[in-house]
Amino acid sequence: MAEFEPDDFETDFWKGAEDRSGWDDLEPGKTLKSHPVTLSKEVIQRYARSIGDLNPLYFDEDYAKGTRFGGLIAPPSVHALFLFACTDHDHFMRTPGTVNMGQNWWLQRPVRPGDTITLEARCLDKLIRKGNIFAIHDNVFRNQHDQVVCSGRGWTMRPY
Amino acid sequence: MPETLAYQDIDVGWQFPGPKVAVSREMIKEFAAASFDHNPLHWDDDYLAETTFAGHKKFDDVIAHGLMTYAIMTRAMTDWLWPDVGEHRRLETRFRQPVYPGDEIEVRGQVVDKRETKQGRWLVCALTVTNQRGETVATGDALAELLA
Repeated sequence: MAEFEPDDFETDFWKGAEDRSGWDDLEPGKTLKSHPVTLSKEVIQRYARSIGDLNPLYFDEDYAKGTRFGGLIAPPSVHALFLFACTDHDHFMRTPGTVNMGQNWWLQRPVRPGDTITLEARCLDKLIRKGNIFAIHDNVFRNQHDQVVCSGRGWTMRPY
Repeated sequence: MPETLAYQDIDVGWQFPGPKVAVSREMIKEFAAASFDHNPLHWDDDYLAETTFAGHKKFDDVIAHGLMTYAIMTRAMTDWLWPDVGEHRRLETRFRQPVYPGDEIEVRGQVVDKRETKQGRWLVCALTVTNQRGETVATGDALAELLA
């Protein structure tokens, strides 16, 4: 499998916005389209730097090898990246104006450089509260050994 | 405290510090690039000026990603759990106020419960993120599984 090419990622979220499901179109429970992504050490390290997390477990191979992890790993919040890297331009998370209200993730095992991550993503529920419209989504992330690395839910406020 | 913390060393009420981070437009931009979340809420002033939510509420400025706050909160756990104390098993967050460029946010943690199950030793931790005005911008429930 080809490694994920960050330079090929479409950063203009307005492009193709008309192809995305709005809140009305979201069908709770239906699995959404996604594709596996193989992450390089560089992409993981750029992510870690962006949050100011310079833990040597992400950067120092010799140090990491000497720990119980046995090698480099990724920060536990790296799944933020998969929500976008594993989905196409028409995925509803890219809708401009999507506001993250909360998130819960269970972290089963670390992601490592070279892992190929598959995302199983759904809108699980949707609701209207205090005049705003919300979607609940659940995500399960698996590695190339079909082991779950992380699972959890998010809660977003959606634009009308 | 011993060099490597064990379950028996930590009591309910134990407090631990988390990161203190000065949030800037540059940091938000870097997080957008690193996480591939380029939602205009995080960079487009014109979009924010014309976008309202229920009750005609608007954001005052571009906002930081909720997941950036989430990521900073995980550091409050991994900074002391990894590599030898335990696993950071879970984090549930609620983003209560927007985080804007110019804000300085600080995470603080406290052990609020400890439990042993058949196979595990667990610490339930409450995380609070405040800004420079003392406002709570996010809260979290975290779970640590201790190795010893």
